[in-house]
Amino acid sequence: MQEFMITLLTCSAAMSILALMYMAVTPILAKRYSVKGRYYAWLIIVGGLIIPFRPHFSNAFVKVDVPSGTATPIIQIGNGTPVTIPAENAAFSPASLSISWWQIATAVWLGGMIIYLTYHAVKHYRFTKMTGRWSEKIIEERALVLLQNLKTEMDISKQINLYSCSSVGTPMMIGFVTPRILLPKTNIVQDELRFILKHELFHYKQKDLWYKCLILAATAVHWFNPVVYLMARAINVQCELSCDAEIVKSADADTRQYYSETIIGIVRYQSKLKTALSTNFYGGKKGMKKRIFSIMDMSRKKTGVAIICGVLLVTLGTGFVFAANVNASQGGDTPTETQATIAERFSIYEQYGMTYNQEKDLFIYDNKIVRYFNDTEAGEGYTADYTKFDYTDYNVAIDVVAVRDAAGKLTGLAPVSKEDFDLRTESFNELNNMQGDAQEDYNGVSSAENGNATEDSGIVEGGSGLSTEAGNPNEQDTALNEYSSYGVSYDGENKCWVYENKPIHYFSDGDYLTFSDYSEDAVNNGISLEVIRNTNGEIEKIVEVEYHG
Amino acid sequence: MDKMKKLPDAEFDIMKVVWSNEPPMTTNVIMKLLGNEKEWKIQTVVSLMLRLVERGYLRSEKHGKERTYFPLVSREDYLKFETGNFMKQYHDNSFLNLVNTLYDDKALTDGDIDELLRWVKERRRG
Repeated sequence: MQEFMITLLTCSAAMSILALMYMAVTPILAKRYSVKGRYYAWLIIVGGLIIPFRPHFSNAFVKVDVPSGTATPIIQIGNGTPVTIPAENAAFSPASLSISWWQIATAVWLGGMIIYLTYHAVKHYRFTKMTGRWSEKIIEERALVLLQNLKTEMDISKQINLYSCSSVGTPMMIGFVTPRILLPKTNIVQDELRFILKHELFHYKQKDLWYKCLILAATAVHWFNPVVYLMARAINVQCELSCDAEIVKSADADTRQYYSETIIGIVRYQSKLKTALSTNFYGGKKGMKKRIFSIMDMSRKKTGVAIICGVLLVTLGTGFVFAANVNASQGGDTPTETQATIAERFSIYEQYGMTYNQEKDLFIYDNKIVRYFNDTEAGEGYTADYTKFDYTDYNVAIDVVAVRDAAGKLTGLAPVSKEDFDLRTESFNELNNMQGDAQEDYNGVSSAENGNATEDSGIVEGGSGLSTEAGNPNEQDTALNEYSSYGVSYDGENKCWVYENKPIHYFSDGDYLTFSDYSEDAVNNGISLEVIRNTNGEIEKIVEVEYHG
Repeated sequence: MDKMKKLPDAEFDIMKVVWSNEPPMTTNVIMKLLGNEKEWKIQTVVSLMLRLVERGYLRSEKHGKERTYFPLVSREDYLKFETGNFMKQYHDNSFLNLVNTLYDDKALTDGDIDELLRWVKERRRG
């Protein structure tokens, strides 16, 4: 469900951008391409909105960082079972709660869609009924003969009835099953009637009512997105323009002028009646000017196949965005991360000599197997560790750390010295032997992981002697170093982090970090803290919270 | 009448006949023009007419044996009411209005339209 909603929202956002861009370039395209091509290119965008799913590209070319609210996984090289770090401590925010948020979102979306569709169904029903009440069948011979002739000319065999309706201000075509043309109760001379009927019959031929249904479907699915309403407007304009274009196709300037005047005449009547409805538009004076400009424009245009292809490509291209998104959410939702994404993520180190062997799920540096890798600056996702697997020979395996300059820019990779390597081996063995009673005999200098720290990582075990999850072997407990300027400090004597002279039992910084200390002192006397960040992600303050661990 | 109410179909059909004929109307005439076609009984027509009187759409007078009816609401007024009502519900008060106002969807003044006509002619020459 969450995945579907993410897909939907991504689709909505990506297609909105595409639609807005397309709207922006429409005036430029109008100079070179036919209105028909421009009109049908919209159909692809509409389709892309209705069906939020795209063909899945396993390797996204365009890496789009989609914030998914979940933490990046830490991976363990070697056994191929990557481990995820849940963004929030499970005990702190029960999974059921976060699921119900997505359920609420889905329910709201569905509810909105139902309301939207109902509203339009009722509106359509009432409109049909009202126009039915006020319509009289036209029995005038001349009009009927004209309609019949035009139908033959345009190769339409379907029975189409002609009505005169007092409650409409503009000619229109309604009805899917029994299409009928409604004419307003105004004086229309024969020549004008010819244009009007032709225009409406073109709507029928172009299946514009069905097109409008698709637009309705798209706006219903994305009812929460204001851009789709703008889009619906823009397509309606193109719909009328494409009908106009068909009618004046290969017509001379006189005919075009007469057709323009016919339309203006209708607008005059409609404006008097103040009834703007259904298949017709008149977007104010500016809109009318555009429409007439389009009618009077006699220059030859390309069909616009290029536009259609272009829009199709970009629409499918939004699939890349989805692919990247799916990868991101996969990292957070499920504990499996594909080798491909690992490779992609770690590809930044390739130029410095560390390569990833997808097949064996191993990193190679200097022809040695990378036993441990850490890039503190890059974040949790860029740590690789398999100290568990006892590669203890310095000639076979190696520990590598990333080197970054003061600005945080990656400048290279450095293998650790043999001493450091052995120290890690040692402390790892020590940890293995300790089997849980980690506090004893542990000198607190090394930061090698015990199995526990790696497996439920993200919960940084601190204080009790088992310090940071991915630090340098010679580092002190640095888990909360980042927060030292906010009153958090490390008490080396009691081996715990303190805040306002109280030991910290639990410390949460949203997606960035979760820390907990289960030592006796911290559990009994400790406090729980939460970091408040502003919208820019900068730390605002640290507050004390209730912790029901 | 203070407040018009939307007429149900049957009553609307009666009014349509009333509007399209010279008043006064009698039940018999209505019956002849409408009842037979719809296969209504005379009682149905009478009760529909009385309901229209109640609603304030018709006024009735009794001359001896026969009761005659006059329309109180003109066809144009009712058309304006019904169509306008629809507009009001689905255009002005629509929740899409916010978006609608982004685009100008207003009716044009006569001045605007004359200007447009002049503009067409200019474009023709140009």
